[in-house]
Amino acid sequence: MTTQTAPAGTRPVTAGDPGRRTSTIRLLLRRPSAAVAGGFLLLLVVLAVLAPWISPYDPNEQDLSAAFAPYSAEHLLGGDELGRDVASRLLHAIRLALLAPLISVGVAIVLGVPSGLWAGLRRGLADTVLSRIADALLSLPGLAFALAIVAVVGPGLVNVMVALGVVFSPTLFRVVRGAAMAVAEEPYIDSSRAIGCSTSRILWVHVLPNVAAPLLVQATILMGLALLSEAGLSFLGLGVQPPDSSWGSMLRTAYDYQFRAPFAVLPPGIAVVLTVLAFNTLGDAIRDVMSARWRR
Amino acid sequence: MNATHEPLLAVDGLTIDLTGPGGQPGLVQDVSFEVHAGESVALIGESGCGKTMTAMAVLGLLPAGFRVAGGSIRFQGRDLLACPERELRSVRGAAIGAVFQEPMSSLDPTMRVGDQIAEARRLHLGEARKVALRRARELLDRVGIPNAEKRLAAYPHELSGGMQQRVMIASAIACDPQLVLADEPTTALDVTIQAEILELLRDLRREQGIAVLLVTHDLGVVADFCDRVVAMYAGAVVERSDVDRLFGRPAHPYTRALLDAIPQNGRPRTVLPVIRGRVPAAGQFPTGCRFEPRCAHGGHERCLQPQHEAVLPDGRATRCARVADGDLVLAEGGAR
Amino acid sequence: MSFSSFLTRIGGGLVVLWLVSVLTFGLIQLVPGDPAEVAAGDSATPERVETIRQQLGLDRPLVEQYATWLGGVLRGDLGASLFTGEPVTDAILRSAPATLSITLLALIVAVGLGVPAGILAGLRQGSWLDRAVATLATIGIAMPGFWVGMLLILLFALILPWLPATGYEPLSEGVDVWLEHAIIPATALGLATGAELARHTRGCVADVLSRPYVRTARARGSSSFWLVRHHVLRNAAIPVVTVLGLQAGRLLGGAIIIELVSGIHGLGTLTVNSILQRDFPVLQGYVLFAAAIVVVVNLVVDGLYGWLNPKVRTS
Repeated sequence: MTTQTAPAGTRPVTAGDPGRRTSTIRLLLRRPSAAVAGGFLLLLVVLAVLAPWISPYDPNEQDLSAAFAPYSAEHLLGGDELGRDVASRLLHAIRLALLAPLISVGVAIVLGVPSGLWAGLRRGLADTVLSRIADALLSLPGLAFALAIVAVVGPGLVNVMVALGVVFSPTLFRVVRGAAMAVAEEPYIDSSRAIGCSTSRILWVHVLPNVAAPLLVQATILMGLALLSEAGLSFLGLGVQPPDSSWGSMLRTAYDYQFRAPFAVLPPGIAVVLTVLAFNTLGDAIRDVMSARWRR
Repeated sequence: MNATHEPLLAVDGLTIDLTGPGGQPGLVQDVSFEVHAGESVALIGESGCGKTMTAMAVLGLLPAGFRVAGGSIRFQGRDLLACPERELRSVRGAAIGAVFQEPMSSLDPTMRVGDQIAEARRLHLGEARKVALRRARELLDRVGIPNAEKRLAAYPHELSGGMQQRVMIASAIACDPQLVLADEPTTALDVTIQAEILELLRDLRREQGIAVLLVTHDLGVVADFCDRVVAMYAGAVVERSDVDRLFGRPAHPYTRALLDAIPQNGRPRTVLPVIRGRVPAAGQFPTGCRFEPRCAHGGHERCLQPQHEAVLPDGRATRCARVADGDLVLAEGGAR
Repeated sequence: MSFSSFLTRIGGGLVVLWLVSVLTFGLIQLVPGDPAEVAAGDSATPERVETIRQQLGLDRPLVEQYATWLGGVLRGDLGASLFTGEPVTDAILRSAPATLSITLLALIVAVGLGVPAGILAGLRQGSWLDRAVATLATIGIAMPGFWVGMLLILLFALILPWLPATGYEPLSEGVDVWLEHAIIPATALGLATGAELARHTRGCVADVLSRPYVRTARARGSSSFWLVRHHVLRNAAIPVVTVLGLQAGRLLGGAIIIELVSGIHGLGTLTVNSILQRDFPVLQGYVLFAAAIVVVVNLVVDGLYGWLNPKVRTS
């Protein structure tokens, strides 16, 4: 029931607005929270790329003599139940932690954005039908629906993330629909048509810039949500499958051996929290910057 | 203008700063005026001249970022600026009532009208809800709302603008205050309703001897309703006078220009005089006379010095040094 | 709320439920390959596959399958588990109390912690309290519920042996016993929602305090306490209640994983097992049941919203 529309009394932007493109990123960078969050995510990307080279051990290399090893110089974050180096495993799992949410959000965009634009601009029967479907999808507890899809197509990381993408798409649908509706009601759309602008031009020049902002905010926040969900589903054993591992599956093994090594739950958990925090903070910062621009 | 006893409200040298970047020290500068028991004083000026801030300062309800930097506000002998919050709360709504500009947004949309009127009585007199509601019903009658019994249970959005404002007035006088602050009470209303509201205020004044400090930018309202006028411009009081003399013999170029700008019947084919220029933005007040850039008589060397209030022999006060000295004589007569 | 709009809302809810039923029913059809074979498993004999096929009604035309299934649902018959033969309805009713009691307790924790924190933060904007609440809330939203559960077990069951680490006791065994077992999973489940609520409440309170009618109330001599009690709560409740409605689905989903962490045999365990065993009827039953709960919660929220907001009521 929350759709993102322009705050009352504000003027939507148009592509090519003087000063619009120039400094969104710069405004973002000026906020310390956004800079830290963005920097952290960038760091993660770098680490993910460099993982094979900077990782102290092979993540799957077992060394039973180091099983449940405490924090030490050799194993910075200790060893897991098979003696594998936890730090290396964390490092190699960054890739999944960034890619998996991208799959979900990608699917959600592909499903939600065109349909949202259609519903918001065309209105009428298409809008009613699509909105009802979105309502129905949103009524399903997200995780339950993802689980249902997993039951059908089988476990696996890609399956799970696609399922989550389907679950997330109604949210993006609503956001895009709301923004598109707000733009469509603007008088200058009519005048654009009156002077002969083609539909695609109107779409590109007027609709998309106004839709992009709330979409970007919601997508960033969904990245965090996707990571949380992936962690949960992998924890259940339904996400990433061995021999691959994600932070979620690492949490599962840590849980299984919780009595033997109670603190093993900390490293993967903290990794998840920090990353989700970064996504959320970035999303909030983008929202603040965007709404400050709206008010001009 | 002659008080036989202490004024009910005496504002003396009130200065308010707007803090923070883009702020302005002395946004409201050295404001002084008095309101005596039972009289009605208008605080007039354009939007942004600081009249609302002054009224809010009396109530102790300045918004964040505004800070009283000096002066005193004596009400019934006490300096409100020196009172702790708890004491101020006992004054607000009890001895001083307030009526605000847009009744629709100034009334809680989720609270019944009767409860809002009763609120002050429950707060200050400790009355139980039922008792307070009975009094609220009487007040609704008093302010001229028909069907008072049923209206007690109504929500603000179910009433028209005029009725909402009557409710506001009822809630402001619920505890029989000595002073009512009315901040643009009729601005958001239709002209015919305006007249009714003013009529109501006038009746209340007459019956209960309530003093009214009326903040407004509408000279017509002032002419109908007020005894004395305090004119403000860019945060400073430029003239203090009684109504008749303000309209007949203004003592400041600004008031003179205001009167000239009122459209007149019976003067065809004349260009409507307009005060050229704009009100200075906060942070950019001139150090000398704040009106000088727009003044028809400006440019004088004396105008560039800080202006102070001077009391004329006949009791009026002006902040134009040249008028005070007799150096500048303003045209008489004007709109009425 | 007028009767006709009430009916409209119920109607809307029913439409949504019907769509959900279609989606749920369609699940089996979406299984790649032969659903009966998939359900039967790798080591099944052809007879077993055929039995399952008949059990699931897959040998009949699609529309007839749906009609039969829907008819059963409306009668309360959700089919039977492919593995235990237990009627799905029974399985759900057996497992639901544990899940629902934990979810309700989680809601109480969330509202009990989040709303007061948000109100205090909103009243004291810009203060250290406000920033502390905002920071804690931001972190809370980022924490996976099941991880919080593990941490709580670590702290309160392993390090400080105050509470049992796992297990569940129904209310019938006594409130104190139930609470002992339920408090960790409920807190873990409710923390993220509580954080979300704190944020939202803070925003709403701050917004309400900036409104002109609060200035009027202050001008009548209201203290902060009076303001909150008589003006802020009612006005801020409206958006907060809306948030609660949105969180219902999230809570149900999170409950599934928490149950695993805390060793509770509720709907979550039932569902996860049904997925691992490809026990479709049970899974379908759960999805329908969960959706029904969410729809009901949203209806209640809509009703509450109408009650809280007089403008909606009298329109």
